[in-house]
Amino acid sequence: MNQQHKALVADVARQHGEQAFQVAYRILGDVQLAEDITQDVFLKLFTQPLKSLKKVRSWPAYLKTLASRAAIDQLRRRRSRREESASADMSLLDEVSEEVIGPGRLVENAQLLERLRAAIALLTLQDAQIFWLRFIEGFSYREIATALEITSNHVGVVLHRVQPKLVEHLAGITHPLEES
Amino acid sequence: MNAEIELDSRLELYVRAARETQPASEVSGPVLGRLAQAIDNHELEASTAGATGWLSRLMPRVALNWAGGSAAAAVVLAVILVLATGTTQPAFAAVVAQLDQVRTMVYRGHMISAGKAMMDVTVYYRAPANVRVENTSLAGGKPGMTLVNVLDVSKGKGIVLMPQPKIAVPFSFSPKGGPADQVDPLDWFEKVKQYQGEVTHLPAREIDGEKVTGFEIHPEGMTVTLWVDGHTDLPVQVHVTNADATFELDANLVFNQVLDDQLFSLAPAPGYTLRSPDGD
Repeated sequence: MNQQHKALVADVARQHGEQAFQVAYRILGDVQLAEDITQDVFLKLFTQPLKSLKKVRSWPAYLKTLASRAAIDQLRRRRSRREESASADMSLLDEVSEEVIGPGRLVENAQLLERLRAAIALLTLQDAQIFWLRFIEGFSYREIATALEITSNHVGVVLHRVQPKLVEHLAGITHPLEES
Repeated sequence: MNAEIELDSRLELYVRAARETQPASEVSGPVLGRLAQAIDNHELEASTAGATGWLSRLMPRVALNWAGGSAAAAVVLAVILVLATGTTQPAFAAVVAQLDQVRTMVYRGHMISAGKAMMDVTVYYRAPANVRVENTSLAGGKPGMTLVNVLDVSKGKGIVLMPQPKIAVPFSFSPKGGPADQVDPLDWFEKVKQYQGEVTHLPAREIDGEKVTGFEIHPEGMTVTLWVDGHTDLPVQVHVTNADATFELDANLVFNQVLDDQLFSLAPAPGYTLRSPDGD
């Protein structure tokens, strides 16, 4: 029985581990933190009964939900530490693939994403998670509702409310690199 | 709400930047390798499938100890019961996690100024955007007029109801700010959920026969004391004081009740006279 549990978790990690890591990385912009979050998400699967793990319908949705929640929670804890934001930028430029987009866009994206992270960190955990899962990870209303055990209507209400807040937060955020 | 909400055009560049960001393959590869290693090394004996896992491992020790001394067995049994029922002291982070998920909240209490009760207040909140505040003035030492404010924060619309003269005044406000001349009855609630500072644990006490744990925090000059039920990790009482202690709120809290839609209706009940905010 124990070996079955371990085999299932290992198999899920092989198939979907990268997706969970990508979600955590996009939110945090820090490889080490994203790796910690990813490992934590998978090791916590050992605390759940094997029976309930076998009932998971969509592992990508399940893992992205867990990873986004943990990563946003971490982001909110870090939000006052601006020096980490600046250093995360520099590491981002080294770590992100340049194969698909050019270096100029890479720099632009890094700056935009740091602002977005700072704004996201000012939202409540659930609001931030719903926005991220919908518009960045591409979840449907139904997938978000199922993952977070809320109604689709609630998803829509949050998305309607949270976007003006984000726009306002972004207007008030200056980028650390721009200040130097 | 039938139509799906589109992405605000002012956020498109940010969302595009997030979508285009992914770690390089030379970074992901080693990360996934270490993940596989961590899973492989994970000791399943050390993990727990929940309280019953702990219980089943400890029970044989209880059986052996019983033969040797009932006092020792009682101590072991008490420990098992605490682990199994989970009635240990909650962590503040657990309280915040629960508050983040509440569907409804009702709080009833008093607002006190300079040591004198000035208002009875009942607040109904239904996530994410519905609020109803019922205030009854206590000026002069006895209940005065009751004023009811109903708000839909997502729509930026509200209505003030005065039940005694049966007058209703609808109004609009900016969803980002709330009505400018109103104290936000949920300000302490939002500040608790966002709080990142120091937390002081207070000695446990009993409220209505239930053991509760106290947390004291200081968001933005306020002092907020929450008395939390260890079974639910949700507060049952809150005490809020402003920075110079000239204002206090003392209230009992109930969460996740089903609240009647009528509480949050922006349409006044029959018999009310509608007035504009200008008094017409």
